[in-house]
Amino acid sequence: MNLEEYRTLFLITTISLSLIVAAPALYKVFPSQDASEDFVELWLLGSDHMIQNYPVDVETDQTNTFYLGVNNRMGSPEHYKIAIKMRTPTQALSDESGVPSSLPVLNEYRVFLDNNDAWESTVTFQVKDVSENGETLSAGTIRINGLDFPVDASTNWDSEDKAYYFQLFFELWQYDTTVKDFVYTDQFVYIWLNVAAPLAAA
Amino acid sequence: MAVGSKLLFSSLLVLVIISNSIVLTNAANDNVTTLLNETEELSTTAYTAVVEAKQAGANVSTLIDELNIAGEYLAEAYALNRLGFSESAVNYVNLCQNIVNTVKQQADELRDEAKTSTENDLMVTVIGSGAGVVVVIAVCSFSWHIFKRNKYRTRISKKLEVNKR
Repeated sequence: MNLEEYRTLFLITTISLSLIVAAPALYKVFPSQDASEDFVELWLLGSDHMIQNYPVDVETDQTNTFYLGVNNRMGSPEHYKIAIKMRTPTQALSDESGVPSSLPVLNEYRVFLDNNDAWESTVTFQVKDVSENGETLSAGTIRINGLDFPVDASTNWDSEDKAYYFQLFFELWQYDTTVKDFVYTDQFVYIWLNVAAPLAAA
Repeated sequence: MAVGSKLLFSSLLVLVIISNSIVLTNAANDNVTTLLNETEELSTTAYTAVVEAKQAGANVSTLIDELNIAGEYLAEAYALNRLGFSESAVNYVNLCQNIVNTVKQQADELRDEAKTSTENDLMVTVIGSGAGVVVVIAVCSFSWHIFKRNKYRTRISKKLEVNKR
């Protein structure tokens, strides 16, 4: 090797060593961006914390339990609201995708989660003040986590499944700091309830 | 006639009492709704402060736990208000406000501390790395100088040997 080639080698070595020594400062000034996708999970689990044994068949005044959970993978702390609503098969969830149901909120959860953090809560409910009139079943009240909410909902007999159906559904809303309000995430979970008609008085 | 007047007066009195009750109830409900909106705003302000503290590098896990307790109180307040239990709703609102005000204050303090610590850390790292780069360049330059001189001397002594022969 001649002197020029040696000089080039020294130059390359100097630059490489300089970059290695400067790496900690460069990393702090230009931190790497997380390229993973941001998302949030919403789930409903049965009484034994599994995707089974959901309280589908319910009796009047019977206490039923399941688990509702949220996992935040948005890359930052987030504020969520979970709105609990109820509907019958004839009531639409919403008119179009991305739009929440216009049905009234019965109860709600407010959850603050750090990134990669999860929240889970027990949901207990009872269907109360149930009456049957012909092929229509009416439920006057639903108790959720100890509070009684008047619903005055009526549903017709499903002759195919031989059941009276109501649905409890849970909409996930996320606080948007730009809009300064909750925004519907277009995510919801639900459970269909086959409510037994009360036994006729003897 | 006197009985008729008395009856009319009693009816009017009852009507006035009922109207006032309705007005007072609506006013009370409006107050609770206003209180709920204010508390909603306070809780989101506290949440924003926690996010800023997190972005500054602070550990906010305790504050998030506190916010979740406040969130439970706020959700309970909303539910009770919907059911018409205004007084109970107000109690939960007050509980929520106490927590979120404290969380906001603590989050602001943590954010400022974290910012100062991060800035100091950055300065130390930049100065340290800068000094390291200078040392690397100096050592490499010195090494090159020594190497070149030795190479030059070796070449000169070989030339002298060749000339002697």
